[in-house]
Amino acid sequence: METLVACNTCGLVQRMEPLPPGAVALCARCNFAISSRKPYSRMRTGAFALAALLLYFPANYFPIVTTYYWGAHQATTIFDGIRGLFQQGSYFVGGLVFTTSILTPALKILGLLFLVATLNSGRWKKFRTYVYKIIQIVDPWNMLEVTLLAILVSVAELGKVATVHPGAGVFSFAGVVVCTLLATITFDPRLVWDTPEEKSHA
Amino acid sequence: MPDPNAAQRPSELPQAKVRTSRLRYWVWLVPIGVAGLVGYYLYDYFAAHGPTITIVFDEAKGLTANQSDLRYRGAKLGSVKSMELSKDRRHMFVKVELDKSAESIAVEGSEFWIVRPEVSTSGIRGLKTIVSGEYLQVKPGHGKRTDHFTGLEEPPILTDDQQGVQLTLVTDKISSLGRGSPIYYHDIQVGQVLHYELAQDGQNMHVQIFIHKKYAHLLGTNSKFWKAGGLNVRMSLAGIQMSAETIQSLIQGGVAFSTPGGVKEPVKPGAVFRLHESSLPEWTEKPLPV
Repeated sequence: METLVACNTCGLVQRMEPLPPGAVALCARCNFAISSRKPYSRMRTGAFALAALLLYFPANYFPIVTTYYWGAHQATTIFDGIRGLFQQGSYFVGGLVFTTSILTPALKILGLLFLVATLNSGRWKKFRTYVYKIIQIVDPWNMLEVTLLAILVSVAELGKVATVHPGAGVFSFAGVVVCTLLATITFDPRLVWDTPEEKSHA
Repeated sequence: MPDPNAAQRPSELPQAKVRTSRLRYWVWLVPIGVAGLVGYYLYDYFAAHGPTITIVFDEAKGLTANQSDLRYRGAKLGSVKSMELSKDRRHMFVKVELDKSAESIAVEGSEFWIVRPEVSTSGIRGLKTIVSGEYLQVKPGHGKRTDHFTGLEEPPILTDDQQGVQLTLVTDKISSLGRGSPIYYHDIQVGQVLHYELAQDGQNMHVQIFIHKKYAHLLGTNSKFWKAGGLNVRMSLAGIQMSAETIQSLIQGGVAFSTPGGVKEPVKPGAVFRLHESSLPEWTEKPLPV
């Protein structure tokens, strides 16, 4: 069955045949790729979310920074940092860092993986909508990871008295941020409520 | 969603072109690459980290979790990960994560102690710890593999695998002798007092001493030991004669020995000697050719 698609680039509305696997449609006018749903959304989101999940563990297990101060060294993981903030009585900032760097990435990654895994199943339809809603609520809070980077920079500013080395954790954490971002970009929310027939366009 | 009205006359709209795409599965390179990276991290972590050992101390004063190091011959071999109080509240369990290269010190017979700054008559030690904080030091043993150790409350006198002879001296009073007091042979320090304890009869003191290997040939079963500490004052018609072995022995006490008439029969390790209060003139008259 033919569908009508508007080109995202030039806006031309055109007819599109059902695509055979491995094929891509190009706009009749501007030649950019067009599709009724984000291309390979399920596969791409799944791949990025899986990558983010893999990185999530080293990001939390390995130290973010190792500081050398007068011969004594201290490796700090994200969790150590949060515990430190709570011990200092900064419950608000501690809670914020916990939410933005441990809780929301986990919710988002697991949520996306769940959506991707159950897309073809008719059983979870309503629950999928809830999960998508949660991801939507959680999403803006992820942006606060920027503040975590700001904290890191201020730590590194101590460079004159102490030596600061980035640990494996910070690279993993950056990887989590990038992968979740890509997983979100490639995810087409219309898949959440599409019928199986409509999914064939994805 | 397709517009139902437009769908009724689709022939008026242009038709999208279709082309095959070969780059569908590139995205899987991302999780594969990430899995490789995580694998590398784990390999790196386990290649650099040896076993975690537990050392029991009565007092863990000065140690800090994630900060204090374990050192041997000046190099870092591991670090203190955590400290826990024992259930009976009498001991501290100090957990130390060893480096991979230090796996061989997790064996029975290894001795651990905390290095603290120490100022005593035998010298100033552990000054570095004033800046860096206290650290753990190890004297490796040679036994079977184990993860549990009992820490020494005081640093041992012999911090290395020094070769030598250990002897026991018997005396009725310890005077100014103590751990680390020097042993002299013709005013040269040849060993140290390791420790002393009251004998079981409650009358005598047993003093364990250590003589370095290269001086061990000076010891014979006929060797005489005496206390070298303090001043030796002799009054005679010629006047007053004062003598002391060395300044250090004056403060710290010490033990001197000689083997009058030369070594007739070499000593066995662990041999027992009498520790005399002072020397007799004939013991010191004829020095042996060294």
